[in-house]
Amino acid sequence: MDVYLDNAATTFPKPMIVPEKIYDYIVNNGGTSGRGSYEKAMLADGLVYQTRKSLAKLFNHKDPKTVIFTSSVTESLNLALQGILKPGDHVVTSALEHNAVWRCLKTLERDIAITITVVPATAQGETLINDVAAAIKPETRLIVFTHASNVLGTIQPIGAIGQLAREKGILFLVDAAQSAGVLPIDVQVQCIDLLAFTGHKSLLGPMGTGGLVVNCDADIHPLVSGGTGGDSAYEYQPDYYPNHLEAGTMNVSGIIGLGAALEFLEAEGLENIRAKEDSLMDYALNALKSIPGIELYGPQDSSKTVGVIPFNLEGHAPEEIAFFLDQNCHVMIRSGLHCAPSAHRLIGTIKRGTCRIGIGYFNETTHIDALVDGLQSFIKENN
Amino acid sequence: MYLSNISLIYIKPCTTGGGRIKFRAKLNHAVDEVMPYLNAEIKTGLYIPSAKTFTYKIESHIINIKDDRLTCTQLTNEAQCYEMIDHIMDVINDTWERKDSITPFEETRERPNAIQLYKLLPKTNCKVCGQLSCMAFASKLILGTCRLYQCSELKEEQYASNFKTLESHLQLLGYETEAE
Repeated sequence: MDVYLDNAATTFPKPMIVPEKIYDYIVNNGGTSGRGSYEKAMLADGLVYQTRKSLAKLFNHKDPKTVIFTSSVTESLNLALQGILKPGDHVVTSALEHNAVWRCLKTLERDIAITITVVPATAQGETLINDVAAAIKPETRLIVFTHASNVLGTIQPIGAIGQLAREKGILFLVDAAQSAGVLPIDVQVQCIDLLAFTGHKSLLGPMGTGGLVVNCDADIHPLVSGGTGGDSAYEYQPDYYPNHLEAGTMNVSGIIGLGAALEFLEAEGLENIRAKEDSLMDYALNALKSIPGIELYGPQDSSKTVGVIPFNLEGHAPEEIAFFLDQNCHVMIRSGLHCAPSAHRLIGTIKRGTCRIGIGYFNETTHIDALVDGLQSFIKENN
Repeated sequence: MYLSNISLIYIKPCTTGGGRIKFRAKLNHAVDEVMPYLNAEIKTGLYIPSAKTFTYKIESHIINIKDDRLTCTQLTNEAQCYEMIDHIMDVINDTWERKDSITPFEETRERPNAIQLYKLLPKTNCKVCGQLSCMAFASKLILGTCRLYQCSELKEEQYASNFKTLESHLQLLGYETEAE
């Protein structure tokens, strides 16, 4: 039995409806969106629109036209940060950011002289709202925060930060890579101006899908210019949404797959998904604590995290553990820095990295048992 | 659900330009029976029982429903077309669901007349349209036997605003304004 425990990187398997809908579209339709003078292309366009609408509903966003499709959450974050920030702008961010945010900010700092303040966090990855408030300056243009750390799993106080940002008239961008599809997100209640999400993690859709929900009237400079299917004689990117920020042939098959995944999520219910992942987290934390020499990081409390558990075994390199589990036990986990070095600085693992399990909706307790058995075998063979 | 699907079948630029588009869509069945109820609910709508058409405006968009087809004008992009289709389907289904509490209105509200249209024409009696006078052309427009595009002077820049108003009047009557 193959045991997949790397759902924080990408979820696997996907609901069967996802490949089925993609297959049906590729085999029976194949038309491109926004360029059609025939019914099938318009049908494809309609399916893309339905996915925008489902996403708007999921995030309680009013206008599906301002749900922008991108190829990944990384592209969405780059679009928001590069499209909005100007020389001299100040940005407040968390101490837990993935490189999708951090490298983008550092590049803008080097190239156009933005300034950055990182809000401190505890070793459990918890951020205090007062520390966010203290980081704000008169020239602060934007606050960008991960909703949940991809290393520690810790959920950030998004609603409180959103409210603070709204009161101060500062744009609030949320990286929902680890949370969309498993934690409730309400862009209106949580005062989220820009929500960057990926389709292939907890939304259970295919890779190559992501997006940016634009819940504000900020002027966002497009990352790419090109064909939009309409207004072709006009020599610049149109100013209306979604075309303003979308150019080139869209990933229609991927978007249709994402639409199918959203249907699945709605039928299952977000709260049921969250409840199952929480109970698996509790089961896993309890079982892992029995392993001799284990070092667990993060809050170790399912109510404070998404389904991520980082750990090390005393005296062993994480990549050796992951290799052993894969080759000897068919258990797939992640090892390394997980593209988020700042979170590793918090827990003192910047040089060593950690092992990480990412629990998904399709995991069962037997998968956790296989992991624990595998770790015990590793210890037996290597100690 | 009364109406389960409206599918987009045709998108083309609006004659008035401005980068706007219009669309045609087909309904999964004709909705003649709901029209008197729509007519009762949408006070600015234009219901023509003999032609079985219902036309109404939402902001600058003119929506015309006839048999199992509908058209809508002045849209920005495909996403807005689909948004409009969703809205129209909701209006039709909601009206049908509430029909027992609505008194159907079978009459046609006052329509634009030939004099109103004439006032917006160039009034040069150039005869290029094939009619003897602009007044005769206006009368034929009302009857639907002439189309707005047949007036070549109207295409001049100075009449752009009049053209838009005339087009809006005629579309509200359910007529096409351009060549097929």
